[in-house]
Amino acid sequence: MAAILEIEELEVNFRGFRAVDGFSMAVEEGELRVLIGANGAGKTTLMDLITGRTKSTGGKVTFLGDNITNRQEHKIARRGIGRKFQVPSVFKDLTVRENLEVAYTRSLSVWRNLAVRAKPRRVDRQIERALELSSLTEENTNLAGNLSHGQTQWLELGMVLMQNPKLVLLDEPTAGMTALETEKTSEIINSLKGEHSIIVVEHDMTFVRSICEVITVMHLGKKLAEGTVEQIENDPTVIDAYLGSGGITHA
Amino acid sequence: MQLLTRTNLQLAAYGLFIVVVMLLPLFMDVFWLNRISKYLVFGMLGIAISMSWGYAGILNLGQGLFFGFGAYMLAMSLKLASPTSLAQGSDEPVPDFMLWTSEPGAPIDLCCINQGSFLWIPFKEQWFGVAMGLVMPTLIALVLGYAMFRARIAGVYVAILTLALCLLVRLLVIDAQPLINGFNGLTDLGWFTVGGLEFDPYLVETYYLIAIITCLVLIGARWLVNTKVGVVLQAIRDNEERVRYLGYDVAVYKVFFFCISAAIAGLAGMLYVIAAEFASPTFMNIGFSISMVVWAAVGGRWSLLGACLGAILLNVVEATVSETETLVEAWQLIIGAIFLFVVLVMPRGLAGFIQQGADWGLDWLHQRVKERRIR
Repeated sequence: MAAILEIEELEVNFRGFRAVDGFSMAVEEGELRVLIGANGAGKTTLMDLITGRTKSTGGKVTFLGDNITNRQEHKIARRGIGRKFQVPSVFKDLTVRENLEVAYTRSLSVWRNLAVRAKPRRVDRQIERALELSSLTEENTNLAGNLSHGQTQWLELGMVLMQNPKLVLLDEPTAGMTALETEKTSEIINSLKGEHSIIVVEHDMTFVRSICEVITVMHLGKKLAEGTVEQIENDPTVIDAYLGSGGITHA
Repeated sequence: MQLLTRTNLQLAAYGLFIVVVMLLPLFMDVFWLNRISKYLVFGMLGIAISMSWGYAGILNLGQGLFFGFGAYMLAMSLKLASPTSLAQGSDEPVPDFMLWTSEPGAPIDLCCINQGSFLWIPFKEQWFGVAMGLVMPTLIALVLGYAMFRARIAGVYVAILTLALCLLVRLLVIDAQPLINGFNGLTDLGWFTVGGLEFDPYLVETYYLIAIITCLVLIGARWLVNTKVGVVLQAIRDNEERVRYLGYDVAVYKVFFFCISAAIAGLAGMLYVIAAEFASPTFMNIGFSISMVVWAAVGGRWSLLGACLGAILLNVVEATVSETETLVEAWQLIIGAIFLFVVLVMPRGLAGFIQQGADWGLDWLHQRVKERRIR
């Protein structure tokens, strides 16, 4: 399989502090990659670099054969990279349905969107699917600001589904969730698998085991290790970096 | 029961507003109709503010700039149509004030009576003035909006920039004595004329001209905010960054609505000139631009109709109170008190307050129907 995303020697220098420091990684088409690492390892910064939120000071990001390094955010997004933020960010003053409608991004220009509501049937079917998957069918006319924390996270996943990007970046999708909610979330993510390539940043190892194929470990802006769950859990350098024999299971 | 939904109630309110506006001439004399037509123009400004501030989250404190530009563009055409402009000793119309400041011996002709007077030549055609009244505000908004929103300037900085620009242009206008009569503005105007019909401001037809355009703007604005563009815009107001990561070019959306809002303000400026028969630099005073924001805040900036009604009601109150002898000293205090009361007690404005009441009513009604069905 061909790599959909290739990161080469990526680097960002915040006035002397290298948050990401010569990091390289390749993600294949349809792959689900988990990114782990202690706080401050540079995981979120890496996502910012991929999506254009932070401009890199060195290295290269290639997506589907195009060099997308340091392009404008909306252009990278249009190329097919979707993102779910660590802090759930939905549109609180819009209804759940409107949130999904905005996330339907087959038409992005002002002129085309003046008319797009006139032919909603195809969009409607997709919205129904996203509502079902995120278990929000009953809430569809409620304001998104009134949803619970877990529901908000699912709505954002539903939005990613509507956006239908080739590559999805998920930053801690289970943060602050109960065990039951986490289970539901891994279900949603598993259903995204295959059709989309996914990069997930996550701490919760139970969750990681339930969804994961390959793990990349980041440490101080560099790649520390890469491999399957067993390989990583038994890797001495990883155990070292995570302060002692507790290992990443309790990180 | 299916008919009683939130959207339908809103549409009914819009319908009621339009019917009332259309029937007013049955109950009022032309003097009051002329007044109301000016308030309708202010209502239109309320719509423009609601669109940029309420829907797009762009607080424009310099809306008077667009209003003023629209007003001056049409006023220039109407000035040339005035009988006095034709009585200045030339076959072609020349504004009287140009002769007051012209150098001795300067030819009495727009081409060269003073350095900038040639700019007036195309305004001999009334429709050129009308077109410019829409094009100029839109163009300024396009350039200003593009510069601001590309650079991701937002919030209070937009307010400061727009305010400053408005004041700057006001100074330039006051300074341009030979060109547009500076501080005194353009007065002694001719009438706006369409196909032989002269729109004397004290004519029912003039009231209808303004009323119909206001209603069309209201309907158009309502349609626009309900398209997907409108929904995306509200999403931008909520969380700009998130919208960007969905692939929308946020700046383009903001510029688009900034321009629409400016065009509406320009149109309002032109209609005001028709109703009030003058254009002056006071249109670009800070106080006026801030008043517009106050109208929208009182009426409810998240509702186009609310902001429109807020403008009309506050002006009616202002007129009645300031003309009541016992209150003549205190009318500004009363307006201020209304503003404070509404902002403190109803943070979403009158429209938001009424909407909330209607929502409760609907919930209660639906509950009752459900209970009856169970029984």
